[in-house]
Amino acid sequence: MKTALSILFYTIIFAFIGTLAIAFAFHIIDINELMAQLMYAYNDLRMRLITGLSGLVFILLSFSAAQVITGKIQREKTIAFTNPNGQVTITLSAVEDLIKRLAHQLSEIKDAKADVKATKKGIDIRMRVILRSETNIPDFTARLQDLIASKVQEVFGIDEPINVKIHVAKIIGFEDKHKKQSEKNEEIAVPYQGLKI
Amino acid sequence: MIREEEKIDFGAIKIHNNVIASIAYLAALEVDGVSRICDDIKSHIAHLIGKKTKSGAIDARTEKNENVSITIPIIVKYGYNIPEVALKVQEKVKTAVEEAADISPKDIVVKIKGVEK
Repeated sequence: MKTALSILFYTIIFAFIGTLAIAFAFHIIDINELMAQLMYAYNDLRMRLITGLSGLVFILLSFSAAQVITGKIQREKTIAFTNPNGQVTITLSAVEDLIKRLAHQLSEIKDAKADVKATKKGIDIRMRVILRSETNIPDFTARLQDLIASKVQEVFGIDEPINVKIHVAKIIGFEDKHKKQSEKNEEIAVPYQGLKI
Repeated sequence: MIREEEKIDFGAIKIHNNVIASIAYLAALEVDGVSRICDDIKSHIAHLIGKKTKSGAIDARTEKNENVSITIPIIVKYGYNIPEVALKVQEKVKTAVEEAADISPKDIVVKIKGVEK
């Protein structure tokens, strides 16, 4: 119902703007009459008030319509289960949040991004990770897959099979960090540096 | 929409859906594992214009047959079991609404919108 109203709202607005443009292009609107009407609306206090309030209403309506439309898009991306008191829906972005937080707790991972999709076969998780160089990648990724699958199943209570795909996008070393650290240490090691007697 | 709750000799007692939403908001926040209740544009505007009672994006609706359904969008704290938190929210909200307004909600939909620390 709300979506239908939003669509109706935008249809009316665009149809109105379109009609005005066509009328303007074909000289259906008398420019002098239009100018007179605009001048009246510009100068008359009551008309200004009405115009201002209409503007405010339009802004609120457009925000509301945008929210309904985006809400509908978000609604489609959920995992749902039913409790005795009602339904529980989990947005896939909540699953992504959890995976990201889980990944950031592991020292081997520098950065991680997750993309979760609910399919008929189960839950598809695609991870893009940046790892530290001294990590044993086959071992670590296998461990990560197990960890994510078990944690998602445990936290969300999902019974469907979970398929975790990991894409190692980059491997970064500690060298730069160590260099910076040693440079800093050298700087600190000089006692009374810059002290003038 | 105002829900007609009870007719007594002195007149009718009506409870607005916003009141039910506010009760649900406060009850849901008390549940261990709930980080916060999501907000929407409506609640932001209400807060900006000085409305003090908070109900976030909680949607309380009364259907034609006087049944009340409540939708609660929440953010769950990291480390908690989500189905357990959702179940606790449903139970807590149900009890709170029943105690405060003497209304038994037919449906309490919990939407998990995110996980945060």
